[in-house]
Amino acid sequence: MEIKDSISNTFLALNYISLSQNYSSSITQAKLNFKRVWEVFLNPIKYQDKINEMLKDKVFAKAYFMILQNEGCIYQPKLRAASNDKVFFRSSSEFKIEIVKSNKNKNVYYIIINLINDTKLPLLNLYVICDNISESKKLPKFNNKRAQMIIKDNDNFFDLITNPNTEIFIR
Amino acid sequence: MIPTTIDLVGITDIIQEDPLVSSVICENNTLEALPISSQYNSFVKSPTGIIEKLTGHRSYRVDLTKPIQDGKSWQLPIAIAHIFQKNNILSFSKEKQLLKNMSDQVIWASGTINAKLDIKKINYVDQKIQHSIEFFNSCIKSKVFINLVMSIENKEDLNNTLEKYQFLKNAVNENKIKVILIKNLYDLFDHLNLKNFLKKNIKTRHVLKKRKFFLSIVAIVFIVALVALMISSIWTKTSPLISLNEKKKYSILLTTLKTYRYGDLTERVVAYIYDYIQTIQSDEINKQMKLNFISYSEIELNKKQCANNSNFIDSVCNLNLEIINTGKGPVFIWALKMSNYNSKNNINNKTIKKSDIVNGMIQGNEAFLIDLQNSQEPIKLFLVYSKVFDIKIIDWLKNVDRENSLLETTIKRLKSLGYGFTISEIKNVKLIQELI
Repeated sequence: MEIKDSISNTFLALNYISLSQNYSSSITQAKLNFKRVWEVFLNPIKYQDKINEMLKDKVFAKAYFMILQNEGCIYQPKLRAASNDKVFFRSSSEFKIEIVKSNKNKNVYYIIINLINDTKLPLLNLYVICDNISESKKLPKFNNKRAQMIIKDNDNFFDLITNPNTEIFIR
Repeated sequence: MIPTTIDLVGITDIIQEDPLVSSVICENNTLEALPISSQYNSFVKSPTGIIEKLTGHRSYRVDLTKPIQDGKSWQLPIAIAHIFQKNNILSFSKEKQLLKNMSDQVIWASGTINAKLDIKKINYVDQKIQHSIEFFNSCIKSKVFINLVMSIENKEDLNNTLEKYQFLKNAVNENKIKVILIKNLYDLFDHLNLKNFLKKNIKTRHVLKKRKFFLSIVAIVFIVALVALMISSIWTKTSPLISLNEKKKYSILLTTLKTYRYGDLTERVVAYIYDYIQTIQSDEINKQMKLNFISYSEIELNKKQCANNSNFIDSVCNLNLEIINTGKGPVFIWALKMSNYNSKNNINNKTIKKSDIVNGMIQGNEAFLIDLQNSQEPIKLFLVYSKVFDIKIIDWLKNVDRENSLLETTIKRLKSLGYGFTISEIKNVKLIQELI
């Protein structure tokens, strides 16, 4: 990263801090490094392997998803359905998610993502966040606005993505 | 077995998945789809792919012993594997054991397939064989028969490679390896005596062929029936016209024709055909008859002047009309000399004056001479020709002579009946010549 970009990003990060009214002094005392959050947002490939570890930091996760939302992403809010069951199909104006059990192995599922519209955003990761717990998975390349992933049901990501209270981000 | 440029890959599993799922190829039950998965999905799904057409299912998960990163030569072995699996004769490899103990033969295949199931040439045959040598050796030791399947287009490449590996050449000669070079996937199943495996598709093709044959026969029969119906319908409408013509009931014939001309499609077609035939007949007689106007004078002084036969004749000359029948058969002729006096002037006189009509028959290659007496009035000659004698023609000509407006109707009538006719006009013209 060039120096001027670094300075610019620092200012942007500071801007986010000043914009955010959600962070009380107690949160800032939790040593949130906004510059770091911004750096991760700008370099998703570089931090691909570390992002899940980082998202365990709830403060980091909250700031990170706030940036995602502000800077543009494909998003699906919590479901309004008053159900505690697992949800295998979700749909919004931006994309549909379908979770289909594999015939090969009963604890293996396919996550099928269908985008409704074309997008110019670089879509690299699928993020899920529920009750301050968040995770991400690297997305395969979209083909015809469609991407498919394979996941096991004992994966925490599976629990999150099938939870109706989960918010989903694609960016 | 799927040979690659790095090593030999076996198929460990093929599972039918939910049709919603895109077909995937994975390595040994992992959760990561291999990069060729999207190509495999297109290879499976109809209409781009062939597997759905061959097996009837549109989504699969295939597991391989080792990853394949790129290329398309996996298409042939994967297609064979799908057909074998559908028929429950496929024995899968294990992660670290390409060859199962129970196997008595293996298929080593490499090639691409198009939508017509034609097998196309692939590259790197040498490398693929080279990386399979160890496997071939173990097969031969275990007395497992090897079917080496490739496109016929790779024949030269394969022969060159076999030349490099003597033991392979020997194995081929000793019938331990069977080289099957094919043009089409169907050829392979012929070679393996497993025609039934593609029977359904062959049947479908056969049924389609049969249906196509059946449909073309039905179409021909339909067209023939339609044509027959049309001919019958046309004949039903035409026969009364012919009958009326034969019986010389011309007024009914002409009325019927007039009705046909404004009737339904068949009637219009009949009227058109009838008119066309009669016009041909009429033209034929017209061509057969030749007219010569011959001028002459009995007065010695004018003889020379009148000897010049051209379209301009001196008023002092007399005029003969020579009508020649150039055909073989006899032709009947009716000639009406219409004068301006008859046609235009003195309406009261038209019933009184007798029509100047000449009638006769001209044999084949003979001529008929009519003397057109010298007249100061312009003359209009209406000549009618027919191969049969028709007594009514005289009446029609008389009517025309009395009422010139009937000329057009009479012409139509003559045409409809297939009679020939000509109308000639001889005008008296005063020529003013500037002499100085």
